Amino acid sequence: MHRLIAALLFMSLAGSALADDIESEAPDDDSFQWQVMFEYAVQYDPTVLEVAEHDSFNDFSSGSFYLDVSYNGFFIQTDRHRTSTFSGEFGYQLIERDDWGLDIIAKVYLHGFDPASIERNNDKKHPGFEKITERNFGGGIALRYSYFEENVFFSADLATLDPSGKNEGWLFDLYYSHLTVYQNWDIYSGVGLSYFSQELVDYYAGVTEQESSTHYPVYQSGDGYKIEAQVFGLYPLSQDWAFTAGMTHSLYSSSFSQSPIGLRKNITLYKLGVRYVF
Amino acid sequence: MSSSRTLLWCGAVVFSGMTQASDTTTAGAATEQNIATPVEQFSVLPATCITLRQGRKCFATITIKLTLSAAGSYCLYQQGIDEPIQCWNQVSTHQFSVPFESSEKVVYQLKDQQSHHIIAQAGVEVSWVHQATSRKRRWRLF
Repeated sequence: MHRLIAALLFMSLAGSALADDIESEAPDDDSFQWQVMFEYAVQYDPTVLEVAEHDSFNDFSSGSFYLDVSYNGFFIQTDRHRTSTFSGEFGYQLIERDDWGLDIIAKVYLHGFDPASIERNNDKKHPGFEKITERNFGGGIALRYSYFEENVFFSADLATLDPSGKNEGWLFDLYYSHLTVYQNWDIYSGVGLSYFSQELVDYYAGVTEQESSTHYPVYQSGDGYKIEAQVFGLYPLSQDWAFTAGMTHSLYSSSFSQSPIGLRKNITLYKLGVRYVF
Repeated sequence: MSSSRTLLWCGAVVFSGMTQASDTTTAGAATEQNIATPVEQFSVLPATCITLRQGRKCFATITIKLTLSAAGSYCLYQQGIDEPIQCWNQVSTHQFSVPFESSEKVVYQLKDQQSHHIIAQAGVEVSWVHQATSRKRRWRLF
């Protein structure tokens, strides 16, 4: 997969150089730009793990800083239009056109989890669960194609991830979002499709012989996918504050949900919050 | 942040008739002509309409309150438009709502029906949370 990304990167750079020769476009704005926002929200955000209990106030509230910085092609950005709370990414613009672009980015695509820690905090115990080893977060390098229209955004990420440090996996993430402006509301409707390689799904959902027990038998998964649909709204409250509300539904393939670890097939996140713009 | 963000965004904009507001800078044409009017209160709320992004139209329902010391016949106009929004005969107090839809400041003017003199005026500013940017991509879209 590293080779595939490298090949695509080379092709895109070559294509970019050729396009620059032909079009002689003016260089893009390379000035330093930034924006910082803080959001506090109450939310119902069930984790993918069925055994993880939500019972404290912190489980139903969140505070997040959204940072966007851009300079000379490099950028740090948070996806403010998706309700997901782990969407920060660092990247570089390889090609920048009016209605499309190609970036190379570093991003966390998948949450990790620590069964031993979860079991310590759970009131109800699950014998054998503590034998399941910790899963690292799934961060990786991706090539992203983006397409823009006035009220439409589409992106396609091809990413390579190696959360285990042993077996490199990869994923393909498609996301389409449409903005509807209704009076002072911004309403974003989005759908996403993520495909995960067998190595990735097995790392998170699989149960090895060493981890197995009576309640958690050996499980080796195939590849998998996630389908996502969401609606997210923003409403201005003042020059500094905006109200936010969102809902995301995720559907995981059976390769995840059939895992003995207990991964949810359907997850619905609800979120209500206020956002301060610095 | 834009300079307009320093404007007041809440609270009433209350312009009185020239006899009460001669010390303001926005008393309107009536002040310039030094004609006494019976307007005790002419307020427009909210004073500022907030939109998410600079340049967008802002939508609100504006409440206008009018108090006169003596009953008379008046019309409310939006500055720059010849057709009145509403006219009244022989009223001394009146409160009503009008829909607001604009990407820039709108000034409402109260005029005497007979003389067509402006006897009071008040405006609704338009401000925003996110400033418009010339950047092509990163904050261009949403």
